[in-house]
Amino acid sequence: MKRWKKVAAAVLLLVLVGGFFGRRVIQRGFSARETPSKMEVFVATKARALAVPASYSSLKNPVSNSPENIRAGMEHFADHCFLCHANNGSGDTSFGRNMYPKPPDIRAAETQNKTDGELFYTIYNGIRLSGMPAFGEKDQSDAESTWQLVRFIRHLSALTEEQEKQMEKLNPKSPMEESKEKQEEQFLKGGKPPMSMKMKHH
Amino acid sequence: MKRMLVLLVGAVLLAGLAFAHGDEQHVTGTVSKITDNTISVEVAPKQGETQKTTVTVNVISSTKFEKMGATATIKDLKVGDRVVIHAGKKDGRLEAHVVKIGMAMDGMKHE
Repeated sequence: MKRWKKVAAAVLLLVLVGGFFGRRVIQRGFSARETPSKMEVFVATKARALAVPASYSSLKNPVSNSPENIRAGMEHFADHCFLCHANNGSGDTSFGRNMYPKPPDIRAAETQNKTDGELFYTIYNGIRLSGMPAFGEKDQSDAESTWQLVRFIRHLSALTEEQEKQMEKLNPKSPMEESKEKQEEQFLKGGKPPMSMKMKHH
Repeated sequence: MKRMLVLLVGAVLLAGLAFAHGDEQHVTGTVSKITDNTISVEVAPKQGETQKTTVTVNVISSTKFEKMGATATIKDLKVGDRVVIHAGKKDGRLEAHVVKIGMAMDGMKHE
């Protein structure tokens, strides 16, 4: 086969494949409610694994597995992470369920099998094209608090109900949520019912 | 810097709330019926309405119960109790995530 024919065949193949996937993407739409396709998950997972430098993958957590460090990580998680990841790490929140990609259940093997260094790197640098921002300072002056978060993530499978309740008290709330919560507490104790009895909660 | 970043992310997320259709509701009212896997709640009329309505919420295996801040069970719930139920919608039905149990409504007797 002549060279130009090979090139033309390759271009035609690319156009056909591109057209096929393009049509599928348009048909599926761009709603964040969808779950990423297997192909997207595969590509994103591989790209993410490659993006973590080997020097980080081998890092060991320098903060000890003490109750104080776990507590500090828990408080940090309840303040910064719960909105997408949920206090128990399930990702089962209004935000988490409706993101694209959805945050993983970080209690599961997919996350727990990562090394301490990989978790640290992810928290510190975030993940491109996802909802995960880079939380770390460039100069790593706040590295200790991130390592405490890694300790807490390791502790998630042993999270107690009591700890989850403590976290709920630490979760940031909007003024409207605080006001609604107060009204509901008063109602439970015998006060007047809130004006609107059904509330859309985000 | 980190706090600023968190605040910025929070502001962006909260800005999106105005357009978002959250899928968790707070059902607040008085328990009118309890079965093994449902709780019916009589809720007061919304602003501009006059009739009370009854909302039925399904109890699932992960539903948590609280009474005055302490862990409770569905057995602690009685008809006439005030409740606040945090529920999510699934397949068009409400599923209870958390049921907060309060005092019994005035004049109501526990069955």
